[in-house]
Amino acid sequence: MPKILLFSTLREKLGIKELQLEVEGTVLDILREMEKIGYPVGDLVLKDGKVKRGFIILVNGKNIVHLEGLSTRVGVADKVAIFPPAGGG
Amino acid sequence: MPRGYTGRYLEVDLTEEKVRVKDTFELPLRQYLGGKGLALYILYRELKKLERTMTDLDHLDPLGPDNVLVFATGPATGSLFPYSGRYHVMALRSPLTGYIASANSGGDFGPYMKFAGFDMVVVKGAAESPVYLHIHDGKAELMDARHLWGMTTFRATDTILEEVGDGGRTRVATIGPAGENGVLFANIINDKHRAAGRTGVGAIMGSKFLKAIAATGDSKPVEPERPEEFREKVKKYLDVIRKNPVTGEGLRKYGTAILVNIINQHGLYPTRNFQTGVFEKAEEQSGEYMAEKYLIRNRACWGCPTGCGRITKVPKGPFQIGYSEGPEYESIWALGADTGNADLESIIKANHLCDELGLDTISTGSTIAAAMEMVEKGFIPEERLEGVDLRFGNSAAVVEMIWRIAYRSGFGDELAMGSYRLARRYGAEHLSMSVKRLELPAYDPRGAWGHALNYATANRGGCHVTGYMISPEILGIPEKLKPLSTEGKAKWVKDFQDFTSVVNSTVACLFSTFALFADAYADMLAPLTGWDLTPEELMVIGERIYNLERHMMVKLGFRPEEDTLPRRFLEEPMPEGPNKGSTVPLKELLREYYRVRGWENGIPTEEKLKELGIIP
Repeated sequence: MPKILLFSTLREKLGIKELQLEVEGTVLDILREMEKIGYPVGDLVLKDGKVKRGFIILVNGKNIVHLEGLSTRVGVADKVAIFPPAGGG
Repeated sequence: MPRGYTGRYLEVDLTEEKVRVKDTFELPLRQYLGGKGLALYILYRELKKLERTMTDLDHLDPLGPDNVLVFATGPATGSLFPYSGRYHVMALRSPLTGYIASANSGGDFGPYMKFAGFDMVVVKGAAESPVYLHIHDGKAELMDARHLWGMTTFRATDTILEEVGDGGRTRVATIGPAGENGVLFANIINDKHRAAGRTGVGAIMGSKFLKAIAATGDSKPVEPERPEEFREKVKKYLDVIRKNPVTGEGLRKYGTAILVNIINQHGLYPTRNFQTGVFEKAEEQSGEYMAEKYLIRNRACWGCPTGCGRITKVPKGPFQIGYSEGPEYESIWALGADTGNADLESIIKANHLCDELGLDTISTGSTIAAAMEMVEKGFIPEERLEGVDLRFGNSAAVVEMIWRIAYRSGFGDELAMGSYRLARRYGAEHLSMSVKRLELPAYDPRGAWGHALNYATANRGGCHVTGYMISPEILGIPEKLKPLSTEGKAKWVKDFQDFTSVVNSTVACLFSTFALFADAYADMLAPLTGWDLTPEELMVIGERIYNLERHMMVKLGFRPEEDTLPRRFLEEPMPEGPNKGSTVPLKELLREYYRVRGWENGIPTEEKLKELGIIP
């Protein structure tokens, strides 16, 4: 089952740190599935069908910007990490 | 005359026990702005003088009286320009790297230098016994500091405030025992918890018997040339800062430690002396975890709209502490994952001790980590350790070694030289994770190749904030670049290094650049100073500063082969995680970088130096 990890303000806003889903599909499918089970992640992460500026979505540590974007496939053994915009140094 | 300057700077000759007030407006301000740039210009003049009197600049002892140390503010310091609560420290030669020493710090001290009436303080010579400098009302006095010698930074600060505090109008920058004892990576601590951290500037102060500088004045923002326009622009950009999710929310809530999980999930969080890029216990030292367990509240530097600073407390246990500030990301990593230490309470304690004793957290943690790998691989015999079990993951040993380093006690005396000299002594130079002898910070270069190029070419050595390529390569600011690609990286690195030189000369906080770029800087600096600055002119100023620094390094003995990375990153593929198999293609990156810079083999050409007005 794919594992979803959430960080910083997403944890506060959604009230969870991580969860496992019973579906496979694209990153977008995963976000939609989360919404179905009561975690409105799409409202926080997406705007006009795209990932909001600064948000980072990783599949197995790789940014989906450099993969297939929201169409990136997520398999049963994969890990999806979602971060709000961040900086530091 | 441009605005943004007090018009005066101070030259202190500690050997002669004299202070002289000099005219800032005689300096080429529009060419070098202030802060890092103007300090470099002053140091360049001093270097040229030394070239005439010294047979060989190799004889310039970084811990001798010939070294010159500069504390510098810029035109924005102490104005309403956002994030302008900082100052820059430079010296001709770092005891750690052998090249230009350079460090930058926040808090209140920078603005208070200006409120005391000075743009800069230039320190020459060496005193016969400990002194501290008190600046106030455009005047300066050297004060006896024999009673302060040996004090920690916290106690020295409190004692000086009792003596000359003047009802809360004073701020102090001081060294601790580490600086007095000549630890090569000793720092300068101002406002108790803010550090001019890197390249051993604290050891230089110690070698001059200069314990501290106290600055007294009224916190009144500097008058701009065109006040109304300046206020309007500041208002406009404050709005940008507040609406920006990084500067307006993320950094305020979680501090820089927000990066722990991000960098670890990207597989470049250096673990156990950079042996891998994934730390299995990163979550337990993350910004999220710290906010939940140990954070009391956040704290902002002077003039900062974000407030990334942390006020923390460890309520009980062996590392109990009632009040501390920090740790920030780099310190958490250096004293945590890099030493295999997962215990955040011990990291908070270790960070606190580094502040109290005056040690750079990055070099401290990284040197301990190098020693741990050398112990585990049999390069350092157990009997050298005098009973300290210096193995990865031993949090008590990390805390113990900090005391020993600061006081140069036992094996701590060998660690006080930094990881490069330590590793060389035991025949394991390849285990020092340093560039130009400065310990690398908290990003494994095998996971971000532009950042790797910056590490290799940063003038001050293994440094992340010379050109913070993590911003585009990982965080996607201002746009997302592919981390494991060489394409276009040389130009990005050059631009980041040049713009950062502008930021450090303005002087403002580098974190402003998560929201503001050169156009915003020009937009605010123009009505502040009265110069019709453009973003393009600012970038040329940045390039000039960066080239001058490199030109001075060449005079100090820079060798082209020093623009490199530890062998680990070139030859040992990342063993696991998203960057598994990666090594840094440095040759290709460097070739393109030198072309973009107009340098030959790491050395600025005569043509480039003339073009930038550095040589006639």
